[in-house]
Amino acid sequence: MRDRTLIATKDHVIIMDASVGVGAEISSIDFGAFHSTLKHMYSIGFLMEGRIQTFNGSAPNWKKGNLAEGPVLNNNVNLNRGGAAASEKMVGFQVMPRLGGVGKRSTFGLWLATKDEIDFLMQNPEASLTIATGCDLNIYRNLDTFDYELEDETIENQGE
Amino acid sequence: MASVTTTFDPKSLVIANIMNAGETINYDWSIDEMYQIILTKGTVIFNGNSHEAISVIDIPAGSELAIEATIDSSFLTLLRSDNQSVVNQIMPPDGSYNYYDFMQSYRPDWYGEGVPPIPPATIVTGVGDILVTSDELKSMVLDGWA
Repeated sequence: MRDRTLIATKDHVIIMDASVGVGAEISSIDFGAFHSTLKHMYSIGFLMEGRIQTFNGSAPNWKKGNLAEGPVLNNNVNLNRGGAAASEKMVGFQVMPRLGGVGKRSTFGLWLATKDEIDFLMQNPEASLTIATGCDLNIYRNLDTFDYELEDETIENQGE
Repeated sequence: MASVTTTFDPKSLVIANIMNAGETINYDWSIDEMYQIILTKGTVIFNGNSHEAISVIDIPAGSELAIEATIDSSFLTLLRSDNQSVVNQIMPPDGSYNYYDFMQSYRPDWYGEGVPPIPPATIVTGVGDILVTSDELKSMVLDGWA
């Protein structure tokens, strides 16, 4: 399972991810055919603890990327990409520019922000604010094919 | 063992700082506007105040950063690489290099469809008190992905 916290700082939006379980999906972005019309998505990652296996391209033909082991700083520029935990526990951060993000719900996870939070950030351009916590994701990936895998708990829940 | 590394893209300049308990990381540069760090792990002392992770700490304008870890800690320094004034204060242009222009125009092969190499090659390390100089940042920016 992956837990996510978003923090807006003066100049950046920070996403903190913490996961438990090998294969836990940290993030996955697949713009597919729209990729060529979009710009780069700048993001600097800091894997503080654990390992992440990255993947690039587009489903169902994801390509294996890097196996990163923390602590390490890394750049994430590609639009179509993802990452899954390759260790039992993982803690990582993504740093993205705040300019162009605040006020646009479709940008960089600010879809989690409420209207009041976005209004506050727009009216207070140097303010820091924890936007959202506990954005849980319970998806697991096969670390070779990057296909989805269901955990036992997920299967049990589906039967309830 | 403390370690410091940095990387950038055309929007952001981020410095990762990792310390063991009792170690201190100092910068020998300052800028004329407030910037921020995010404490990602541990507990540190800054300006006489204790801060616990996860927290955002304001570094006042004109202040040279000095952070002491009371337990094993790490923090990210958050700067804008698209702010020419800030970049020129941290890494003044010298010789043929203008670091702001370099960061704005840097487009390695792995931008787009490629996969970046990891980790960045150049890391400043030390035991105890370590000083991160403007010259060391320049080297990391120019050579970090070499």
